[in-house]
Amino acid sequence: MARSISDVEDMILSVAGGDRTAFLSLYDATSAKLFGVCLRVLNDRAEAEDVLQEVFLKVWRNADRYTANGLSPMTWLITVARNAAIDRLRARKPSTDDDSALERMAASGPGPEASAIAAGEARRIAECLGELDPRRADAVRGAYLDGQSYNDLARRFDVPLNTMRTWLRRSLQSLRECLSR
Amino acid sequence: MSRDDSDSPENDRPDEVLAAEYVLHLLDPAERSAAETRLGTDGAFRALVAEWSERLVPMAEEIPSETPPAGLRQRLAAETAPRAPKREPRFAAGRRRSFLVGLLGGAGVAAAVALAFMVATPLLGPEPGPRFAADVTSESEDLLVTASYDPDAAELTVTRAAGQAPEGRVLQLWLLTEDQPPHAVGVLPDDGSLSVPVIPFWGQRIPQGRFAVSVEPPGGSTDEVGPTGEILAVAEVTPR
Repeated sequence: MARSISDVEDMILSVAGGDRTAFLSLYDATSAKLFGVCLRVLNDRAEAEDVLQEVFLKVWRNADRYTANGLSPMTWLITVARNAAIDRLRARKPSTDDDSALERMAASGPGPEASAIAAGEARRIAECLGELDPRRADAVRGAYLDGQSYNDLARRFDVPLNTMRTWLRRSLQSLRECLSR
Repeated sequence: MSRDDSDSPENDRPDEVLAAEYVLHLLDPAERSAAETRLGTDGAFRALVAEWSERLVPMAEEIPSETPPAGLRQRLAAETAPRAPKREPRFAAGRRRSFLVGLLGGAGVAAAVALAFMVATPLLGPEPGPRFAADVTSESEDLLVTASYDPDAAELTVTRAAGQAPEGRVLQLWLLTEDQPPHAVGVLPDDGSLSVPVIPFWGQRIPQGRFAVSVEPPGGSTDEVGPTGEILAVAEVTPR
């Protein structure tokens, strides 16, 4: 069943009013995507499940803050999930490079929910990342998708920490310019 | 997290960059905490963070969706279930303030209490602070239950690393405080860990409290009754 952005938004607003049915509908519509996000960062199903439970309980409690944060509904949910997963990752221990996380994960394809992120936007950012040096683009993706820290990234690309900071900051600036074109 | 001295001029980066690094989760804990404080008061910074969040989120499109285990939906349904009206009249939550929250797996009525406290739980504060935790371990070390309280999230995470209840019994976690009777936190799930919301009344007592694990009949004991079975272990809460 396709879900549009406004469906997800309506569900969040209902959850803010304490509507438990809406909460479970929101879970049905978004949990597969958010589980994917957690799994991508943590690469551990049990941990990802645990974090996803925290995430949905936070959503249940804090849905009323959604209207104040200025984010679109899926951005907010993905942000909450990604932050929780990265917090868990950082609490775990210094991470080792793990480029195979995605490969090891069974690609189950899109879940029942429609993508709430416009395909055009996904293509745009892919194009803009494509304009960067491939290693720098991979560093941005490593930070965003895998939750890698500057230290992780410096190790992974075998460059000094400050070089990595410079790479990332310049890449972000280029990305912003490209996306605003 | 160590930083090179040569890096210090970089600390004066523009807000635009800081916001992007915040969104990417690249700031070290102190910087992240400072940024979160600013988010609460600085609308311009909040707007930059929102812009970067929207700018970068299309990257998540490539992450494949993955259906989570069915048990998670059931747990969330139980945790958010309203208290059954027959068992708990309308103002029962106030009368039974001492009941923190019910847990999962069989303690259906207890789980139903969760809603009342979630509603009463204050919103997350922006700054991550210390956690308070206790490792409840028996002398023989065949029981290890960790209870970790995060005041910022108003959440208690309970993890059972070792220990099984005798056949037909359950293990129950208790919060022991200076000024209240033993408080039934809940029945431990069979495996894994569990996060439960904590109301301020108990949240402010946890740092000075102790956690204990007892053996109870299925469904567990209540505050009014207190632990009925053998207390396997007790541990003091310490800052972590």
